[in-house]
Amino acid sequence: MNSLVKKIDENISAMIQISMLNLIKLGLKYGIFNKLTIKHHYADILSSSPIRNKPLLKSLLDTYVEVGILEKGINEIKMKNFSYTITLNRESVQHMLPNWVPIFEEIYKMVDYAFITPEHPKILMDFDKDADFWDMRLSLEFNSNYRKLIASIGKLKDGMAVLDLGCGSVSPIEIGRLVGPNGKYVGIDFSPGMLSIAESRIRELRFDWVILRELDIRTIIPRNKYDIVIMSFVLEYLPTLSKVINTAMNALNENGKLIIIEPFRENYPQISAWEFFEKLTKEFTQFPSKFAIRNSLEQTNYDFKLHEIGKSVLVVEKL
Amino acid sequence: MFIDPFVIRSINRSELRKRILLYLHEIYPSPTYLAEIARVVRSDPSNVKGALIGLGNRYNGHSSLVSLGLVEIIEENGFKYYRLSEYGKKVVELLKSYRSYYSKFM
Repeated sequence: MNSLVKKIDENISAMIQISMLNLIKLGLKYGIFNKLTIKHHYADILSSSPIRNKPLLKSLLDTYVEVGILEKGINEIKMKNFSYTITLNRESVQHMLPNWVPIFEEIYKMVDYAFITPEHPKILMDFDKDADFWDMRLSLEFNSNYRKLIASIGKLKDGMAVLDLGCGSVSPIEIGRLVGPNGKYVGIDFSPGMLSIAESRIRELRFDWVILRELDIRTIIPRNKYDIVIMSFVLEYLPTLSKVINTAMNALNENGKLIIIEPFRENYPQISAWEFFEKLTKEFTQFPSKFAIRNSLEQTNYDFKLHEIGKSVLVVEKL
Repeated sequence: MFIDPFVIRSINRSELRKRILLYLHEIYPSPTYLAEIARVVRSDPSNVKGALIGLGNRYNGHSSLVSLGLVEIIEENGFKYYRLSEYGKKVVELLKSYRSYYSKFM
């Protein structure tokens, strides 16, 4: 399990580092840093730039402030002296799962199109319209590895009942396989496109213990109880966490486990660099903090034990 | 191996290219020759050649199955055979998974 934890954490760190480099590249490519040496007002920078999508440009400037490249005053922004170091060491490189890199490169390219218009057909970040691209992302080795980690933490085996909130198109197959044929896997997602891809695979594999539901996880009221509830890379699409965390706790059996996989923001400085690119998905808000999750858990009426595994996993045991 | 989603979408919209790939997938890893592909997909050999390698102005060589890396040409004793590449095999498998999604959403 330790090796899986390291793989997840090291790859997330690399995703942030590469995003940081691409963020800097945008500032150089579009002459934003140049302009900032002579203009200091937000409005001047926004109006003088040839970038047509001004809200995205504003988001880029705000991200530069968050990662420490720019400094914000009242209505003005200034360049700071900034240095950024990437260290490649043998230990972290051995955990790299490189096939996420070309997918991220595609996303970085999409920003160029998004600068023209947010509706550009070359932007492939919509859960329905671009469910094929999302399926490719979810099929990456990185994603399979965090599902293996979930399986290992939850000790998933035939006969167990699992609820997967925001299941996407691949988890129903990879997690569903582990709990059948005597168990039950219920996957909930609000994207009919993703569920349609998952369903065609489930039909082919005849996983009749896998049930998929097209629902919004913010409004569901589960009737059954589960041994394990999974939330992997889903909280960043929710404006508030407490209702969903409460739903997840309600759905758990006594001694059941809620497994959350996320790049928790306290653990990853400069995560805003990655978030800038993920915001091409309109539902994206921000990666959650452990603090916000703990707060939401405390608002529920349940006793729980919280375990932190590495930098990206929280396991909540319902007592 | 990165699979460009625009390639899959473009193949999905082209009935002939799709039929050729599905047939080559069916016989994979065996190669076959142009006339045989044309017979199975019920099309003219010149159209099949266009889809495989491009043909003058009528078929754009850049989007031919060989240029996209989906099909490879094997030359033996002066004959040319066509076989699905490893990349092409992955593309066809995804195309099959996405069939119902594409028919509902695209």
